[in-house]
Amino acid sequence: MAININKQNNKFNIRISENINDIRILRNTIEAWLEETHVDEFKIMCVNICLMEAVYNGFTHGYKGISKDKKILDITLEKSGSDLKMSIQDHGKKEWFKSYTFPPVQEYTSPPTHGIGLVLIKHLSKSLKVINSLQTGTKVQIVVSLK
Amino acid sequence: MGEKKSSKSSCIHGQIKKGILFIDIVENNGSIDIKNVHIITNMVNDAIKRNGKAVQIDCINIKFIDTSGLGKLLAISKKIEVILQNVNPKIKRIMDITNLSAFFTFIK
Repeated sequence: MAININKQNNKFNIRISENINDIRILRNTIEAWLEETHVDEFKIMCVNICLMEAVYNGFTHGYKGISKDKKILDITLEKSGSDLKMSIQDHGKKEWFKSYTFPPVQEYTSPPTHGIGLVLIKHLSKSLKVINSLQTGTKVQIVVSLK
Repeated sequence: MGEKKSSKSSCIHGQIKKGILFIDIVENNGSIDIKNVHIITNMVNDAIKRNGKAVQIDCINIKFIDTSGLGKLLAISKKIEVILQNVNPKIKRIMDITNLSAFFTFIK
Protein backbone atom coordinates (compact mmCIF):
# COMPACT_ATOMS: atom_id res chain seq x y z
CA MET A 1 0.00 0.00 0.00
CA ALA A 2 1.46 3.35 -0.97
CA ILE A 3 1.46 6.23 1.46
CA ASN A 4 -1.81 8.14 1.33
CA ILE A 5 -1.49 11.85 2.12
CA ASN A 6 -4.51 14.09 2.40
CA LYS A 7 -4.08 17.78 3.19
CA GLN A 8 -6.83 20.22 3.95
CA ASN A 9 -6.08 23.73 5.18
CA ASN A 10 -3.64 23.33 8.07
CA LYS A 11 -4.27 19.65 8.63
CA PHE A 12 -2.76 16.48 7.25
CA ASN A 13 -4.39 13.07 7.37
CA ILE A 14 -1.97 10.35 6.41
CA ARG A 15 -2.17 6.59 6.20
CA ILE A 16 1.15 4.82 5.93
CA SER A 17 2.41 1.25 5.84
CA GLU A 18 5.78 0.07 7.09
CA ASN A 19 7.81 1.00 4.06
CA ILE A 20 11.07 2.84 4.58
CA ASN A 21 10.72 4.88 1.39
CA ASP A 22 7.22 5.98 2.39
CA ILE A 23 8.47 6.95 5.83
CA ARG A 24 11.01 9.21 4.14
CA ILE A 25 8.28 10.65 1.93
CA LEU A 26 6.29 11.40 5.07
CA ARG A 27 9.21 13.20 6.66
CA ASN A 28 10.02 15.18 3.52
CA THR A 29 6.36 16.15 3.05
CA ILE A 30 6.09 17.54 6.58
CA GLU A 31 9.42 19.30 6.25
CA ALA A 32 8.37 20.97 2.99
CA TRP A 33 5.05 22.04 4.48
CA LEU A 34 6.64 23.61 7.54
CA GLU A 35 9.34 25.28 5.44
CA GLU A 36 6.65 26.84 3.25
CA THR A 37 5.11 28.38 6.34
CA HIS A 38 8.51 29.70 7.50
CA VAL A 39 8.84 27.55 10.59
CA ASP A 40 12.34 27.68 12.04
CA GLU A 41 14.60 24.85 10.80
CA PHE A 42 15.38 23.68 14.30
CA LYS A 43 11.69 23.38 15.10
CA ILE A 44 11.14 21.41 11.90
CA MET A 45 13.85 19.02 13.01
CA CYS A 46 12.19 18.67 16.41
CA VAL A 47 8.87 17.85 14.75
CA ASN A 48 10.40 15.24 12.49
CA ILE A 49 12.42 13.56 15.22
CA CYS A 50 9.32 13.23 17.40
CA LEU A 51 7.18 12.10 14.48
CA MET A 52 9.67 9.53 13.24
CA GLU A 53 10.14 8.09 16.71
CA ALA A 54 6.39 7.72 17.18
CA VAL A 55 6.08 6.10 13.76
CA TYR A 56 8.87 3.61 14.44
CA ASN A 57 7.38 2.76 17.83
CA GLY A 58 3.92 2.32 16.31
CA PHE A 59 5.17 -0.16 13.74
CA THR A 60 7.61 -1.96 16.01
CA HIS A 61 5.64 -2.25 19.23
CA GLY A 62 2.05 -1.82 18.08
CA TYR A 63 2.34 -4.68 15.64
CA LYS A 64 4.84 -6.96 17.28
CA GLY A 65 4.62 -10.40 15.69
CA ILE A 66 2.43 -9.14 12.86
CA SER A 67 3.53 -9.39 9.23
CA LYS A 68 4.74 -6.19 7.61
CA ASP A 69 1.94 -5.98 5.07
CA LYS A 70 -0.64 -5.68 7.85
CA LYS A 71 0.99 -2.76 9.63
CA ILE A 72 -0.78 0.53 9.13
CA LEU A 73 -0.54 3.83 10.94
CA ASP A 74 -3.02 6.68 10.75
CA ILE A 75 -1.37 10.01 11.36
CA THR A 76 -2.78 13.48 11.71
CA LEU A 77 -0.84 16.72 11.92
CA GLU A 78 -2.55 19.99 12.58
CA LYS A 79 -1.40 23.49 13.38
CA SER A 80 -3.10 25.04 16.37
CA GLY A 81 -1.89 28.56 17.05
CA SER A 82 1.86 28.33 17.46
CA ASP A 83 1.76 24.61 18.15
CA LEU A 84 1.74 21.57 15.96
CA LYS A 85 -0.41 18.71 17.19
CA MET A 86 0.44 15.23 15.98
CA SER A 87 -1.44 12.00 16.46
CA ILE A 88 -0.02 8.61 15.52
CA GLN A 89 -2.50 5.75 15.74
CA ASP A 90 -1.76 2.08 15.30
CA HIS A 91 -4.46 -0.58 15.06
CA GLY A 92 -2.43 -3.35 16.55
CA LYS A 93 -4.68 -3.97 19.52
CA LYS A 94 -1.77 -4.20 21.91
CA GLU A 95 -1.35 -1.97 24.92
CA TRP A 96 2.32 -1.51 24.26
CA PHE A 97 2.68 1.82 25.98
CA LYS A 98 0.80 1.09 29.17
CA SER A 99 2.90 3.25 31.37
CA TYR A 100 5.90 5.38 30.89
CA THR A 101 8.18 7.62 32.80
CA PHE A 102 10.41 9.91 30.93
CA PRO A 103 14.01 9.00 31.52
CA PRO A 104 15.71 12.15 32.76
CA VAL A 105 18.45 13.85 30.82
CA GLN A 106 21.44 12.78 32.78
CA GLU A 107 25.15 12.76 32.71
CA TYR A 108 25.67 9.46 30.98
CA THR A 109 28.74 7.46 31.97
CA SER A 110 28.41 5.32 28.86
CA PRO A 111 26.37 5.59 25.66
CA PRO A 112 22.72 4.75 26.38
CA THR A 113 21.52 1.66 24.56
CA HIS A 114 17.80 2.42 24.61
CA GLY A 115 15.30 5.02 25.63
CA ILE A 116 16.90 7.72 23.49
CA GLY A 117 13.69 8.26 21.56
CA LEU A 118 11.70 9.08 24.68
CA VAL A 119 14.41 11.40 25.91
CA LEU A 120 14.33 13.24 22.63
CA ILE A 121 10.54 13.50 22.59
CA LYS A 122 10.57 14.75 26.16
CA HIS A 123 12.98 17.55 25.41
CA LEU A 124 11.83 18.51 21.96
CA SER A 125 8.07 18.52 22.50
CA LYS A 126 5.61 20.42 24.64
CA SER A 127 3.58 17.37 25.62
CA LEU A 128 3.14 13.66 25.04
CA LYS A 129 -0.03 11.70 25.72
CA VAL A 130 -0.64 8.02 25.07
CA ILE A 131 -4.06 6.42 24.80
CA ASN A 132 -4.11 2.65 24.96
CA SER A 133 -6.94 0.47 23.81
CA LEU A 134 -7.02 -3.25 23.23
CA GLN A 135 -9.91 -2.70 20.84
CA THR A 136 -8.56 0.10 18.69
CA GLY A 137 -4.81 0.14 19.23
CA THR A 138 -2.54 2.80 20.66
CA LYS A 139 -2.69 6.50 19.90
CA VAL A 140 0.30 8.71 20.63
CA GLN A 141 -0.37 12.45 20.75
CA ILE A 142 2.54 14.85 20.64
CA VAL A 143 2.46 18.64 20.68
CA VAL A 144 5.48 20.56 19.46
CA SER A 145 5.80 24.30 19.82
CA LEU A 146 6.72 25.93 16.54
CA LYS A 147 7.91 29.17 18.18
CA MET B 1 45.94 3.41 0.47
CA GLY B 2 42.94 1.74 2.01
CA GLU B 3 40.26 -0.13 0.21
CA LYS B 4 37.37 1.97 -0.95
CA LYS B 5 33.86 0.66 -0.54
CA SER B 6 30.70 2.24 -1.75
CA SER B 7 27.04 1.67 -1.37
CA LYS B 8 25.54 2.85 -4.63
CA SER B 9 21.97 2.81 -3.47
CA SER B 10 22.60 5.20 -0.59
CA CYS B 11 25.63 7.13 -1.86
CA ILE B 12 27.71 6.20 1.15
CA HIS B 13 31.43 5.83 0.53
CA GLY B 14 33.92 4.45 2.99
CA GLN B 15 37.69 4.21 2.89
CA ILE B 16 40.16 3.08 5.49
CA LYS B 17 43.37 5.06 5.85
CA LYS B 18 45.85 4.55 8.67
CA GLY B 19 43.35 2.82 10.89
CA ILE B 20 40.57 5.37 10.41
CA LEU B 21 37.43 4.61 8.43
CA PHE B 22 36.46 7.74 6.52
CA ILE B 23 32.82 7.84 5.49
CA ASP B 24 31.30 10.33 3.08
CA ILE B 25 27.60 10.51 2.49
CA VAL B 26 27.16 11.98 -0.94
CA GLU B 27 23.52 12.91 -1.07
CA ASN B 28 21.98 16.38 -1.10
CA ASN B 29 19.77 16.94 1.95
CA GLY B 30 20.89 13.56 3.13
CA SER B 31 20.13 11.85 6.38
CA ILE B 32 21.41 9.15 8.67
CA ASP B 33 18.26 7.21 9.41
CA ILE B 34 16.57 3.85 9.58
CA LYS B 35 17.05 3.40 5.85
CA ASN B 36 20.83 3.71 5.66
CA VAL B 37 22.41 3.51 9.11
CA HIS B 38 22.91 -0.25 8.70
CA ILE B 39 25.28 0.50 5.82
CA ILE B 40 27.44 2.61 8.14
CA THR B 41 27.26 -0.10 10.81
CA ASN B 42 28.41 -2.76 8.34
CA MET B 43 31.30 -0.58 7.16
CA VAL B 44 32.35 0.02 10.76
CA ASN B 45 32.19 -3.68 11.66
CA ASP B 46 34.32 -4.44 8.63
CA ALA B 47 36.81 -1.75 9.63
CA ILE B 48 37.03 -3.09 13.18
CA LYS B 49 37.97 -6.51 11.77
CA ARG B 50 40.78 -4.73 9.96
CA ASN B 51 41.92 -3.11 13.25
CA GLY B 52 40.22 0.17 12.59
CA LYS B 53 40.47 2.52 15.59
CA ALA B 54 38.05 5.25 14.64
CA VAL B 55 35.37 6.22 12.15
CA GLN B 56 35.13 9.73 10.78
CA ILE B 57 31.86 10.64 9.12
CA ASP B 58 31.67 13.75 6.98
CA CYS B 59 28.22 15.12 7.72
CA ILE B 60 28.42 18.08 5.34
CA ASN B 61 25.46 16.73 3.38
CA ILE B 62 23.50 15.49 6.39
CA LYS B 63 20.41 17.49 7.17
CA PHE B 64 18.72 15.03 9.52
CA ILE B 65 19.57 12.19 11.90
CA ASP B 66 16.68 10.22 13.33
CA THR B 67 16.63 8.24 16.57
CA SER B 68 17.62 5.06 14.74
CA GLY B 69 20.64 6.78 13.26
CA LEU B 70 21.60 8.39 16.52
CA GLY B 71 21.12 5.14 18.40
CA LYS B 72 23.38 3.24 16.03
CA LEU B 73 26.05 5.93 16.16
CA LEU B 74 25.98 5.67 19.94
CA ALA B 75 26.29 1.90 19.71
CA ILE B 76 29.28 2.32 17.38
CA SER B 77 30.85 4.75 19.87
CA LYS B 78 31.00 1.90 22.36
CA LYS B 79 33.33 0.04 20.01
CA ILE B 80 35.49 2.72 18.42
CA GLU B 81 35.84 6.50 18.43
CA VAL B 82 33.19 8.26 16.36
CA ILE B 83 34.34 11.51 14.79
CA LEU B 84 31.62 13.66 13.28
CA GLN B 85 32.82 16.25 10.82
CA ASN B 86 30.86 19.27 9.63
CA VAL B 87 27.80 18.49 11.72
CA ASN B 88 24.78 20.68 11.10
CA PRO B 89 24.54 23.05 14.13
CA LYS B 90 20.89 22.10 14.66
CA ILE B 91 21.76 18.43 14.88
CA LYS B 92 24.57 19.30 17.30
CA ARG B 93 22.13 21.30 19.39
CA ILE B 94 19.82 18.31 19.71
CA MET B 95 22.72 16.14 20.82
CA ASP B 96 23.74 18.80 23.35
CA ILE B 97 20.23 19.08 24.77
CA THR B 98 20.22 15.37 25.55
CA ASN B 99 23.84 15.14 26.75
CA LEU B 100 24.66 12.76 23.95
CA SER B 101 27.37 14.84 22.31
CA ALA B 102 29.81 13.66 24.97
CA PHE B 103 30.20 10.36 23.11
CA PHE B 104 31.37 11.87 19.86
CA THR B 105 34.30 13.95 18.69
CA PHE B 106 33.28 16.93 16.59
CA ILE B 107 35.54 18.51 14.00
CA LYS B 108 35.03 21.03 11.20
